[in-house]
Amino acid sequence: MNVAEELFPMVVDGRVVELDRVAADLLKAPPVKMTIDGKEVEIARATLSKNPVTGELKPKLTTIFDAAQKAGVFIPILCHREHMEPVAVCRFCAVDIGARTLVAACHRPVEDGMKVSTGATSDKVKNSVKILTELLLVDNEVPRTANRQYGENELRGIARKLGMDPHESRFPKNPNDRGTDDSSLIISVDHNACILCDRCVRACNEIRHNEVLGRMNKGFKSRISFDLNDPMGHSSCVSCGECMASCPTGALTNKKMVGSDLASQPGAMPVSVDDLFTHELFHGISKPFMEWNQGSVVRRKFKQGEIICNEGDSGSTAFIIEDGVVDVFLRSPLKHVQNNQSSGFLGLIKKFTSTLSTSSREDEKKARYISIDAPVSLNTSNPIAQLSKEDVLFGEMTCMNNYPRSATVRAKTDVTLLEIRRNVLYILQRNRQSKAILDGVYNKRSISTHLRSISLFAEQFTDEKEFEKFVDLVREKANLVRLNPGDVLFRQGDAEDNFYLVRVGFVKISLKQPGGEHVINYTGPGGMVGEIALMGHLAELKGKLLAEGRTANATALDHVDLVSIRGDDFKLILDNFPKIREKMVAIALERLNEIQRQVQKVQHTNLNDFLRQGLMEARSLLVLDLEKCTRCDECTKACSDTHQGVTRLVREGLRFENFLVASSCRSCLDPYCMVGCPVDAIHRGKKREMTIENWCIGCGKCAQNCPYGNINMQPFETNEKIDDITRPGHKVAVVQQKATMCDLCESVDGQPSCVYACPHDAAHRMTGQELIKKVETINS
Amino acid sequence: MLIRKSNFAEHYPWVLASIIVFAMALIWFVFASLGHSEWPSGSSLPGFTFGVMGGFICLFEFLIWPRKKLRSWRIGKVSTWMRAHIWLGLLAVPLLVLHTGFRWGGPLSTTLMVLFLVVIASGVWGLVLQQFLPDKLLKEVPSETIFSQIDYVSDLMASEASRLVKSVCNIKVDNDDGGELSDDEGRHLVVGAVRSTGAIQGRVVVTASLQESVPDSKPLYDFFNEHIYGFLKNGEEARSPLAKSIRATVLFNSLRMKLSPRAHEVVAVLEDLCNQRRQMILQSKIQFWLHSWLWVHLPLSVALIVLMFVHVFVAMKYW
Repeated sequence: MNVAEELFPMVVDGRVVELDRVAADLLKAPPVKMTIDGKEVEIARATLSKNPVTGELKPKLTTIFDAAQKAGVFIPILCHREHMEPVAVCRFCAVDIGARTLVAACHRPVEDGMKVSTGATSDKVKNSVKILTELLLVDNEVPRTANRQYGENELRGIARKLGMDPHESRFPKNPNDRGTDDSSLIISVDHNACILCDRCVRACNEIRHNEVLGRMNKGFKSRISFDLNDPMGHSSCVSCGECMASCPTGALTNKKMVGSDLASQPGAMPVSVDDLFTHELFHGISKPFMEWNQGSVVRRKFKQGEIICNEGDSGSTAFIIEDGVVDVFLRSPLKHVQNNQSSGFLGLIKKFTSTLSTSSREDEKKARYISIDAPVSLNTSNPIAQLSKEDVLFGEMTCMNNYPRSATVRAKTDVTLLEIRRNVLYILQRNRQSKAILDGVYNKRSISTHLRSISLFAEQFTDEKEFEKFVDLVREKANLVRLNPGDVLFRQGDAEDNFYLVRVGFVKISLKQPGGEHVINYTGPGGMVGEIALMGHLAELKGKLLAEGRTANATALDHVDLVSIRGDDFKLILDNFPKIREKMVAIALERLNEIQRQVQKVQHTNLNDFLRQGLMEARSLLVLDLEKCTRCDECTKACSDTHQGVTRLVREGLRFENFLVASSCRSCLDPYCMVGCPVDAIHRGKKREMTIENWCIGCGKCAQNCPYGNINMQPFETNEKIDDITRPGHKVAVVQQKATMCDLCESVDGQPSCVYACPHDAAHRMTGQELIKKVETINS
Repeated sequence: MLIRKSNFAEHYPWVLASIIVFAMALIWFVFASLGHSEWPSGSSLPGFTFGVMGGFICLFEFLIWPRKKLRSWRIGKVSTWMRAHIWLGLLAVPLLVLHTGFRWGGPLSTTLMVLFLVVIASGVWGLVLQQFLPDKLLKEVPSETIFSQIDYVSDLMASEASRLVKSVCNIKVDNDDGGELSDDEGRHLVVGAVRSTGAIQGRVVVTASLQESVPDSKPLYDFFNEHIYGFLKNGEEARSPLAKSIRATVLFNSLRMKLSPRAHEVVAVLEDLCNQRRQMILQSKIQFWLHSWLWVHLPLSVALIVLMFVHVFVAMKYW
């Protein structure tokens, strides 16, 4: 060990610390004597400074500013904060020490015998600071908007202290618009309000060591930047809030959550910031930020048996389990809603008076796992699971993407929960410390049920030990990736790198086609993305890929969480598990054939507008000949009469020449109805028709999403009975609903009632191709 | 029901059968009248036969009403029933005229015949209207909506237009709960628009952003309150000059002259909404003509059936 590295123990503030020789000498040096505005001050040459976040101790040379503080003399500061390294960029703290130029008090170390004059006693200093203030004020004169939380504007505060009007300046405003950045969910950036003091940059890099913030451009165009000038929301920013808390002018402000005050809701107990910081999850978050968002976290207590949330309910919060155990389950029966079918003479009458009954399709009878918005998946044979403190969190998807609750949650024991809003969850997901905890929970506890919920994997393993081996391998190789809405995961033709499993949110898989973007699929929780390109080396797929690299584009539709597995590791999985390999190859071939078929169809169809309406794929459109149709609505009424008063079609839609394509399911090319299903219950069928699975919870998200209004919610009575509030002493059946869409009256007798009941022969069922031919006949 | 050359094949069997029956009836009637000074009466064999046939046809014609109401019954497509309704109804005219022997008879039979002819005439009137009104709707009302939804759509158009104008004219815009709109919600509104691409045409949903206020836009606010809002909400009842297309164009052009170019986009949206509202007025009128004849046809048909049974009873009793 050389001399410079030799450590000297010293007692500071009652603690023994070890310092190098230079630091030790500085701290041991005798105090300096100086005057500030005529006041005599005696002060140590250096002190020990502690990083407020890391707790690291290091010697810090005493500056004139420190001495002035001790003497009670006011020196304005803007770019400087006591816990930061001084950089002296704003020059607000200029003082006169008798040198050729004014010096920055925040940066200049004290010297024995130094005579310092501040703005209070020196006109030279006062004028300098005033001109600086005026110049910065013209840069900071920006309107403040509602729904933003601003801290104190320190620049204007200084102006007032100096006897100036903060809204007045002799100088013209900067004509350059440096722009704004609203890409982050919680922090809004207004570059025009930024005075480039670098406090945020130092807060990010020196205090939090996140190394995200920096500067870009020169002169008037200078501004702060995130990573390589990425939008803040798309950068590697961990949303700790330190930059926002450090900003003196409101250039970085807190986005106020609309209706964020959860505490005003019944049963909610406010939680203090200090209380929150006793949770390990919140340790890495800036305290001022949490103070600003205090209403976004509340505590709730539930007694055993109480319902915490119901499946299908809308919501915008997630829950952190503090104590107790909850049951997560599906209330809705795993059945479809359909009409009764009977035969014989009595059946004839019964058919006309059909009532609702429930059933399951054959392929749904074997046990599968349903992905839900929690760290567990539910087995269809017994859809109930438990969550405890170790699982940390549930309700992420509802909170981040406003999807309906995917399951009912009931307190199994007395439970204490923290209910959090999206801004807080967003930070927890991005903050390094809390992200590590959440990712750790996934890796330790959730990965197994997540993999089970992927039917491809679940169906291949009959041997539990082999499955565990598979889970262990994936666990070892998996990384969690988060995407913001609109983020591109990969583009067609990109080099293949990773394989992804979707955990939260939806990824759009699309092809670039001459007729525009063509959506192949929306992959939601339990789905996988990016496997085809990684299997190009396999003999079965040789020559089948359309091009090198990725075969399609993958884009995040909302806040998406993915499990990423590196390409090499994916190949290793394929090598180690031949059954998975076999099934993957079969799926890839099927998908490639489908893509090939779509491409050919698109190339042979000139009616791009037709394509865009999702009609090319339509198997059975309800087409109304508007020359014949008298708008009597008999088709709609017939549909309604056949389906217990709920029509599955609306006589409105787009027209192709004389033909109106009425709204009934058209199995669109871009099946947007699939997006957001909290239990992944709506899929493409084997013939690419839309199918609703029997575990539909009736939340109505698909009906809400369908741009053509073709999905209806059909109510049915369950066996559960509750008190009738209109008739005391009586019970009524609980009514639930399930999504239904036009099934071409297959559940009745296969003859579409809409066509059968049209008196004017204006309603016809036809395929998209048949409609094209009719339109072309008219055109010719 | 549209009867065109292109779909005549579907009607042909009914037309042919009606003509054959009519021809046979006429021949029988002529033969039966040979050697007699008067035409055969309703009580003669041919007259009675034609009466029975006409009566059953009338009864069958009437049954289309319950048939249409029992929509889920699988007892033949309603369009097939309708073809039969049209051609057998027309066949009933000569059959029942032959049944009368070209006599009006007493007050009951005269009333019955007049009623029958009015029912037939109203039915033919309806059929004639069905030949060209749907086509008129198709060509002149591209922004057609479901008739029963017109009031709802009009209210929606009026309220969305109001929000749009208020935002441009810097008048505080409230959300449904009465609170001020936040940045995250309600900063856009939905206006319907008619779009056509190639062979496609139809009403589509178009979202417009609430704009930043435009200075000196008071003329827009005044014009909206004076003319547009009432017209969008109440249509013709508002007695607005915007009900006439040419007048509306003139008024909107003069409004543009008074406003900053930044407000012209909003004026275009409002003009489009007024155009859609005018089309809805036309749609209501066409809808009225397409279906109003049924208010004559249907009650008189019921009366006809009742009187027909009275006639049968009286005829049998006093035969």
